[in-house]
Amino acid sequence: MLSAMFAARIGWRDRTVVLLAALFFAMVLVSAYLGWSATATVNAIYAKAVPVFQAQGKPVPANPVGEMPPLSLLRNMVTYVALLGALAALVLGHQVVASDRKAGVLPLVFSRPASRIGLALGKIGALVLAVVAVLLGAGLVNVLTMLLLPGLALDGTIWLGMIEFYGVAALYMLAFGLLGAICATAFASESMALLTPVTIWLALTFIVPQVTANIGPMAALNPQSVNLEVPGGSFFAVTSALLGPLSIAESYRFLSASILEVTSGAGTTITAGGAMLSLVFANLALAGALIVAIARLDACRSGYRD
Amino acid sequence: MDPAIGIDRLSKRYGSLAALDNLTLEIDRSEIFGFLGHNGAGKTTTINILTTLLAPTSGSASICGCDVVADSMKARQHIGYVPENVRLYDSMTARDNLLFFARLSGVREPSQRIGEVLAILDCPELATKRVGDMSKGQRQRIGLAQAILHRPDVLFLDEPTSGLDPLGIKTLRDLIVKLNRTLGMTIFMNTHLISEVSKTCTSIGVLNHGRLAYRDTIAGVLARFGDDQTLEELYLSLTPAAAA
Repeated sequence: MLSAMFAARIGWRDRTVVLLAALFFAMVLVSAYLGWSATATVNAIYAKAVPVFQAQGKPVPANPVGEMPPLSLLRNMVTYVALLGALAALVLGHQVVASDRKAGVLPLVFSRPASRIGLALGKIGALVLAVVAVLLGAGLVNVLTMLLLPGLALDGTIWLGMIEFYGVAALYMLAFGLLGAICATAFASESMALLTPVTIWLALTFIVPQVTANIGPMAALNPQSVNLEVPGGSFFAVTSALLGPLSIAESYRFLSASILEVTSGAGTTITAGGAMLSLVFANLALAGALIVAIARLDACRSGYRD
Repeated sequence: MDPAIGIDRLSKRYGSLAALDNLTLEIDRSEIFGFLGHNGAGKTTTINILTTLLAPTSGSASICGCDVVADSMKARQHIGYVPENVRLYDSMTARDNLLFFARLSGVREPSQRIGEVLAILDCPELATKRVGDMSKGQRQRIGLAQAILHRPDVLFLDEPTSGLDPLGIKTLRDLIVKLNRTLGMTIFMNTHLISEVSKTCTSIGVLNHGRLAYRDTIAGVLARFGDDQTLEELYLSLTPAAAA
């Protein structure tokens, strides 16, 4: 636990991590304001329209805000988590290992009576703490926004859905954090240790959806894209069968869209169970790979070449 | 009682290069052992194996009876290690760094222990100073502090006076002797400096191309050869690479 707290503390000292996390949080605030502003405007227009309908003796239609699934207000979060959240987690994951390698403390650490598995679990714990802290901040803003908006039908299922969404977002961010930590451990060059996971993130986020379902790069960030029909033909049948299970970005987008009720689920063959399994399996596999990488790290040549 | 350090036919090869070649050595408890040798003789490789950082190719080594490969976790409980260039978290204070290493070593009541150790090393004022702002000598003291937090039986020092000014060298030398006398620690010290050895150590070993070329107590060396100058000549005659 101490190791996790210490690693998290060291990781947060990196300016890039702080910048990305701050940008993520700023986007959440802007999104919350825009959501609040748009809903408040609709409410105000509706309040003015009701007396007019009544004066004309026409039936008063239901308030569109009440018709809207409250959780769909969080749809922008899906994009922010996929874009800034994953990148911030990736850099943080890099930092929790790279800070030790750059500081040159690993020979001292590895000569202490603490197992390398324990140290690796400390790094994973640090990542979990950091990801949860970022998402708790974002979640708090979302909760306050929803409570401040009049006309929203908030009940237990909404709060449960919110917890589910943040749980999925945490799994998604954690996967990239672990990927960053693995590369920071395994590569001899720091440039490669940072560029490689960023390239994998770009490929998973923008290229794989295009190859498996012909979803363009911009659409790939939008949760609504899960409604798009996968084009027919043997090419997409093969690519989606081969690459689909690897695409945690698609699993995340599908689960988020389902939880936030912004999908009909018509255009996809992904199931909620399969998508969740994909995210959980990815995290377990990456955590295992990080433990192995740290266990095999050469204590006598633990610094970076560049 | 097991010796502080037991080394039996220890070898380490990097491809065709033998960094250590059948090294056999025993160091008793409470000794200050000076390990001399030219650059590349295998001194740091020996320390890396004894501190469990590197696996030997063949042979065995133990610390207070604990094998450094088969029982590495127990062996680590007996050792403290100060590398040639002490590297710590620069952005943190000495206290935060020491707290981390104390917890990693399983020290109970770490805050109290940190206070005690800094008092032993005569530097309590460094506790709140950022490591990145410290001089080489101050950094070396904090490096020494992290190594003795858990009261190890054996302290490994790799070129401890490297890069220090004469005052820093004397201060560190006094601290090493103090740790040996007050806490009873066995000290294993890699060094180039002959003068260092005669003023600090109780026994020496000279390593030449991975092989032990000479081993005696300082008293024995001085009785046999006389002063420092002769000790230097002895060293140069045993290590032709250094003389070249």
